[in-house]
Amino acid sequence: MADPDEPAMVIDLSGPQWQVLLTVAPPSGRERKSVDFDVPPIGGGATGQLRRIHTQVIFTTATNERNGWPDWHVKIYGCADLGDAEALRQHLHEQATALQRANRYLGGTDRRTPVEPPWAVVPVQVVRGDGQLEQLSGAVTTRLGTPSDQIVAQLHRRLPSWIGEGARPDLYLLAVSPQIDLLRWEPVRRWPGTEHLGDFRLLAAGLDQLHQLKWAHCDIKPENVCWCANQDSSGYVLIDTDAATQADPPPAVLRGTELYEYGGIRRMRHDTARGWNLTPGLLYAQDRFGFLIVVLCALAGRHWVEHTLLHTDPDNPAQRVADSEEAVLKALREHWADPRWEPLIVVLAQPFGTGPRGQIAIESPHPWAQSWLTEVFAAEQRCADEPAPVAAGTRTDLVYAFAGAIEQIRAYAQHGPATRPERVHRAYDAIGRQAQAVALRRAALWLSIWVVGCVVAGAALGVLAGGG
Amino acid sequence: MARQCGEPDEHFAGYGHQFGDWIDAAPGSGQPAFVEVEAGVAGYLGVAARTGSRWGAAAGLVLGGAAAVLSFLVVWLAG
Repeated sequence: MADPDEPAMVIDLSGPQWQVLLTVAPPSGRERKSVDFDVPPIGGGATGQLRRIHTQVIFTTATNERNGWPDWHVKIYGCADLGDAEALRQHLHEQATALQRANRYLGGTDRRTPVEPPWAVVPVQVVRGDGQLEQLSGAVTTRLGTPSDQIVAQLHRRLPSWIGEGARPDLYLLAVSPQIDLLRWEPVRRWPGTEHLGDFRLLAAGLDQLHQLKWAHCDIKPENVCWCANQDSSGYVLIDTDAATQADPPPAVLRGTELYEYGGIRRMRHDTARGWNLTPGLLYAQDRFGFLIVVLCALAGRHWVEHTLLHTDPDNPAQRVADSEEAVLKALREHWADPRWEPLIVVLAQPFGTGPRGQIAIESPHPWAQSWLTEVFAAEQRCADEPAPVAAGTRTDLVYAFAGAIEQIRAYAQHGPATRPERVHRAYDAIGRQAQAVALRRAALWLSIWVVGCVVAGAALGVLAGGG
Repeated sequence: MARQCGEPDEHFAGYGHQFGDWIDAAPGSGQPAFVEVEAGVAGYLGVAARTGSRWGAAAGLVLGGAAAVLSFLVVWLAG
C-alpha cells in the first residue's frame, strides 16, 4: 500500500523545553470513517448557529523518535472545502486547548503535559496538512513535514499517496494524541473493587477542571477510559475526545453512546414533544453519569453494570435501574450481599437520585467529581469492620516474624508494569503461595522434630530394655 | 490452605483501597493504615504456619511412632 520510495511523513511538536518528532505509519487498511462535526462558523460568535462539517477520517499510528511518550494515534481528517477545513481547525484547536488546560491543572505547572503524564484527558495536538507552522494551541507549535534529507521529494508531494492520489494538503488536518493501552475490565466483582479508587483521583480532578472551563467530554464510558503510568504518577485517563464540546453555550445536538446516556438526556430524546433543549447542566451530568458508570464498572464489574444497572428495572419496566436511586440501592445490596458494605452502597447510589446529592448535584455547574470520590473513600472506611485488624500504630511480633515473606509479596506485586487492580491480584496470588510455603516449612519442621524425637525415644527404650 | 485461611481476595477485600496503597508504598513505610494491612498479611501467614505445624505434628506422630518402634526393635535386638 505504501510506496517504499515515498518520503516519510513526520510531525514535529514542540513546546517549552520539549520536542517530539513523530514518524507516521501508513494505515493498516483502506478503511475510512465518515464523521460529522457541528461547529460554530468562523466569526459567527455566540449566535448558537452551527455549521455541519462532513469529514472522512483515516486512523493510523506514529512513533516518537525522541524522548517522551513513544506511541501515538494519528487521525487524518479530510474536509470538502477550505471553509470546512478552517472551521474544523478552529474547533479542534479550541477542544485541544481545553483538554490541555484541564491537564495542566493536575499537580503543578511544570508538567510537560503533551508528552508526559499525568493526564486526566489524553492531550491532542492539531497539525495542518499543508505543512504550515501551527501555533494556535497555546505554547505548543506543530508542523507537518518530511525529514530534511528528503526535502527534494517534499517539493513534489507533501502528503503520502496512501492519503489519496492528488489530495489537496490544505483540506487535511491531523490530530495526534498519545496511544494508551486499553483496559480489561473485570466482568463481575463479588466484593467492591475499591483498590481502583485511588487511580480515579486524577481523572476526577481533570473532569472537574474541564467543566470549570465550560467544556464537556460527552462520551465517558468504559471503552474510553485507559490506564497509564510514568515514574511518579499513574491513573485512569479519558481517551477519544471526538465528542468533546463547549458546554456553555451548549451545542444543539450531542454525540455520545446511547447505552451510557444520562437519564435527563434519555428523557429529552424520548419525549421530543416537550421541546427540550440541551443545557450546560445536562452536558456536565452526562459526563458525571459516565464517570459514575466507570467507577461502578471498576467496583462491581462491567458485565454487572451493563446487564443490571443499565438494564430495565424489573420493578418498573418503564425505566432503567440507573434512573432511580432506590433501584440502584436494591441492585447493589443484592450484588454485594454482605451488610458491611452498606455505607459504600448508600454513597454510590446517591447520585442516581433526584435530591441534593443526586440530580441537583450532578447537573450543577460547580465541581462535583472530586468531592464525590472523597465521599466514596470515606464511606469505604466506614465499611471496614472485617477482617478485624489488629491494633494499629506499631508492628506486631508476627509482622517481624514474617517480614521477609511480606516484602516478597509486595515486591512480586510491584514487579513490572501493571495496573493497580492487576497488582492487587498479583499480591493475592503471592499471599496464597507464601501461605502454602510457610505451611509446608512448618509442617516439615514439626514432622522432623517428631520423627527424630520418637526415633531417639525408641532407641533409648531399646537400650533400657536390652540392658535390663 | 484456602479452606483453613480463607481465599486471599475475600480475606483482604475489607482493607479496600488501602491494600492497593500498601502495595505501592515504600518498604518500611510506617503509616498506620499500612501497618494494619501488614498485620493482616502476617496474621494470614500465621494461620498458615499454625495449620502447617498441626499437619506436621500429626504426620510426625504417625511416622515417628512407626520409627520409634523400629528403632526400639533394632536397638533391643542388637543389644
